[in-house]
Amino acid sequence: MKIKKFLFSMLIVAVLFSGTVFANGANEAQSDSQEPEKIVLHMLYNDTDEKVEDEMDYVMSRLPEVMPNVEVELDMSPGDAQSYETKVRTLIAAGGEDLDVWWERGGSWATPILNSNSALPLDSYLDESGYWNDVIPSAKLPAADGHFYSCYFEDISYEIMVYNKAIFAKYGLEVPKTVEDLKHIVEVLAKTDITPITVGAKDGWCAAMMIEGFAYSVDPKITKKIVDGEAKFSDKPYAEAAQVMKDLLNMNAFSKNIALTGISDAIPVFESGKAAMMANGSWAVASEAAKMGDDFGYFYYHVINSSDIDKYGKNIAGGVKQNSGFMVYSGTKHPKEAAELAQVAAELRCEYVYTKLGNPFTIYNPAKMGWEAASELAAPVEQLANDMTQFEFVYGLVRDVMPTAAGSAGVMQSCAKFMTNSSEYPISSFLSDMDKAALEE
Amino acid sequence: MTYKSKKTEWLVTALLVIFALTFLYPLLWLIINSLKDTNEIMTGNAFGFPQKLKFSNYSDALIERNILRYFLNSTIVTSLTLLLTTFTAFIFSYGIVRMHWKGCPKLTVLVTLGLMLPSQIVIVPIFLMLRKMHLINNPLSLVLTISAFNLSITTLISSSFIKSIPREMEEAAIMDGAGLWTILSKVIAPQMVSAFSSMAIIIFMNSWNEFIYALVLITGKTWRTLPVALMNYSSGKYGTDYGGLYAAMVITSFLPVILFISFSKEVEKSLSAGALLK
Amino acid sequence: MVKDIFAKKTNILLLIAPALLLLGIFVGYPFIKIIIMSLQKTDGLTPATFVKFDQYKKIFADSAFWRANLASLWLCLLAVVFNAVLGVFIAVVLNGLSKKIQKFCRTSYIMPMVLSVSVISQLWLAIYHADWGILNAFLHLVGLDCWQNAWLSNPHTAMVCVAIVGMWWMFGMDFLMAYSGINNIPKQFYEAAELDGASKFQSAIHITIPLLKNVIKTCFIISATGGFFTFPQVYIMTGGGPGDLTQTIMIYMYRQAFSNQRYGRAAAVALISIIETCIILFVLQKAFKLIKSEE
Repeated sequence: MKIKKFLFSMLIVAVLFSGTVFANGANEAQSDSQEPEKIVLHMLYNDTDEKVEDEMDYVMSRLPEVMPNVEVELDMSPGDAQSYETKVRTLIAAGGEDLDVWWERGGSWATPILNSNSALPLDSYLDESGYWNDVIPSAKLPAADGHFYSCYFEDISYEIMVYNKAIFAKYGLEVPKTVEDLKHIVEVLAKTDITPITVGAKDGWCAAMMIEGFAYSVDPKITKKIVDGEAKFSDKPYAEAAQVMKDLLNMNAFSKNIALTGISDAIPVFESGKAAMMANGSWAVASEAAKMGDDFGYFYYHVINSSDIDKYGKNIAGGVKQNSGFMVYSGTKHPKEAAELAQVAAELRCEYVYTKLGNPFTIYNPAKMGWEAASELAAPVEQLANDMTQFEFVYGLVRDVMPTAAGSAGVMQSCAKFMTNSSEYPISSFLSDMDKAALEE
Repeated sequence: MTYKSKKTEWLVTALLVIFALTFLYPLLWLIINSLKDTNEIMTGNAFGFPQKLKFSNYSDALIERNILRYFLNSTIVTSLTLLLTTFTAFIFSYGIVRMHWKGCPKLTVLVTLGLMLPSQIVIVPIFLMLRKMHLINNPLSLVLTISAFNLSITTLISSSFIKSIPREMEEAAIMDGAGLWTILSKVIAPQMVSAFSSMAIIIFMNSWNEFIYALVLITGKTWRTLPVALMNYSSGKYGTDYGGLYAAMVITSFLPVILFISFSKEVEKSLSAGALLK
Repeated sequence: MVKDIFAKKTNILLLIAPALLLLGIFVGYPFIKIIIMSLQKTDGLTPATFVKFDQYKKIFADSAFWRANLASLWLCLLAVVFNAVLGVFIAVVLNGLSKKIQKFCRTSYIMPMVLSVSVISQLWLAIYHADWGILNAFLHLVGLDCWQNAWLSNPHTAMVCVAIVGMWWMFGMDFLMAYSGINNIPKQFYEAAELDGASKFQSAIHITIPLLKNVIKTCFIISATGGFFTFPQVYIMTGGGPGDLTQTIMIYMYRQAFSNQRYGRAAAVALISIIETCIILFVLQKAFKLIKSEE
């Protein structure tokens, strides 16, 4: 019977194998029959959710008319940023054969790529094509060595809090501008069935965002100072912010399982109305406004000191992530076309989200590009787009500004741990862990 | 060994059965909840039956979430691993047991190393090495890795069986003019059925359920295996779909459990084989 | 002539080549590579630099490493007690019951082992979930609401809860080995003991346990190493977090490699854990030899 089982399984395997080989062979045969003059470029993208799938569908549909001499093979790779970036490094380490252009997540992920000279400097290509006329000034964000290696296209993101207007109306609550207001709201809601605040604490950066948001009202430049080595997390701004978070935790502002709630768990909780508020980013504003309609609103992080109330909404954490966007592999066989592809793809993607989705948070200047939003922007979206032009100082942990991956990981882990609100991890331990992370090399 | 009094026997029985239930209940809970809607799981009675049987959890898993594809991938990887490991271990153990040569003891060091080291400890060099060889995302890398780490235990099982086969049969075959391969296939193999089944079961369990290497070595959707597919199941488009996740978990487990129940004697023998050899 | 076939060099080579190749490439070479990499600083992309024992110094200076190490040793101990010792005990005790009960219990204890660690982990996440998990619901049912907890987020309970998952999963292994070992003991021994008026307790101590010596030793070894290297279930359930609440030594190694991109340091951690395992095994061997010599 064993021998029969062996033969049977061998048969199945043989059939399956030949099936896949045949399928692959058919694909290759098809692409061979294309015109030989077209240059083939490989583009890699991180398939994080259905939204980006739609975006890239649009890009791919427009590419043949914009770049007719290029054939683009797009690989949508699923997974979170860590596994995606591992794949990028894998391809580069293997010689970068099937890699011409890819979506670089940026920040500390880009550090080893830049250090190993695996990215093509795009300065000359960008200058030639008039790129700098099309984008807003804050997009001129070079890498540490002063060169430009990526075509930014990610939404400019701001760390904000979103809230459910319907719930607020039901309990007679108003948009809080100070921490005291916020605490009052939490007090009221904690007595109900509704969770006051939800956040993806398991993904440490969400919790980090909240704490940073509070810290900014004390000193908006604090994160930048820490990254530049001029200040510490244990200084006043973050210390006070951590205290605010601790108070919120003690007031049952969050659900019991918060430390193990990831952002993908938190979003449905907010959207379904089980939570009144959520710490999120401006990238969600457009889609949440669409899903929740009039019930959706947002506000900025609250000032810790009630007397600072006029500082509310002035300095926001966020911005463009350094070295993110489409990068070109330095060893590509077609640098000129690849650089052009990077620019074109970035532009097309932003055009799509602006015109079709009404998302105004792009680095491109819509007026200069001649874009028109398909429909009226939802009220919150328009509000944010207007506020955007008024922000004074913009920086932030969400831009993954820690210089090393270990530093980012350290910050995220400390914040996630802090959200367990255990007596064994008081504010002092939390802050010293954060300081340690900042010093990681 | 019998018990002194009926009372103690009853007490012990009760305790052990309750203990056994703690092993069975979670699995039962899994099956029941795989038919619940996620909302009911999160807000309803944890111990209750589903208010409405949601078979769509299963159809979703198979069709929309592509569990069938991942099931196929797991099958392919496991089948190839079975073939490769059984064959290699068989001829390897024969070489160790029967052949006259000097290098034997040095080999056992390598084999023991494979036995002692938990496979994940060397994940970094293996990952970097396979990366250089362009084998990341290729199911072959998984097959080779799992085979290598199962070689030690299967070789041990195989060699202990071969040792118990009397030499006269082989000597008779040689007298009749048989070559090495004939001996292996016609004389030894037929007597090793029990050994092969023990080896097959161990290899199947380890290969079907392998998680960490499948996670690191296969990064794309095309060749992803079932255990890894479970990890990404609840996040993504649909938010946290616990009902669907549980359906997928049942689908993942039903093959090993069926095999276990039908071949329970063999399974027990192979799982305990380790003890009798050390 | 017989000797010819058995001594022919080409035959030998054919037989052992594939296995040697696999073992050499996937076990031997990585092992050597770990030793080399632990002396380097490499992130997998830029060329590696040789830093001698720098990685080790940094690891020993990291308090997170010591906590992870302690956690793993603690898990090792728990596994030995609740898998090896309990498994043997239950195997011995089960032996006196009816065949049906034995079959039922046997099948139940082994069932989790045939499942993937991925399935086990997700299942236990559902059990431990702070908001709607079975454990909290059960406590509510029996009126022990005060014991309810955010099991995996509470630093007091997180590690133990994770340990329970691994032990639940692998309990069957130790139990089964002991059980098979007991079944191999000839019935005559017990019959003779009964004739001499020994109680079941005495038979267990003086007949079963001594004859199971080797099996018990193997159970201890497997549980100890299994507990020490706990990894997949932790990774899936908590990722080592929140923060580093459930960080075992393998999680620490994995994070250094794939989150922090410090492959050299990860290799050093791997080597340190291998050495620790050898020490544990050595201690176990010595302990058992001591017990043997006492008889």
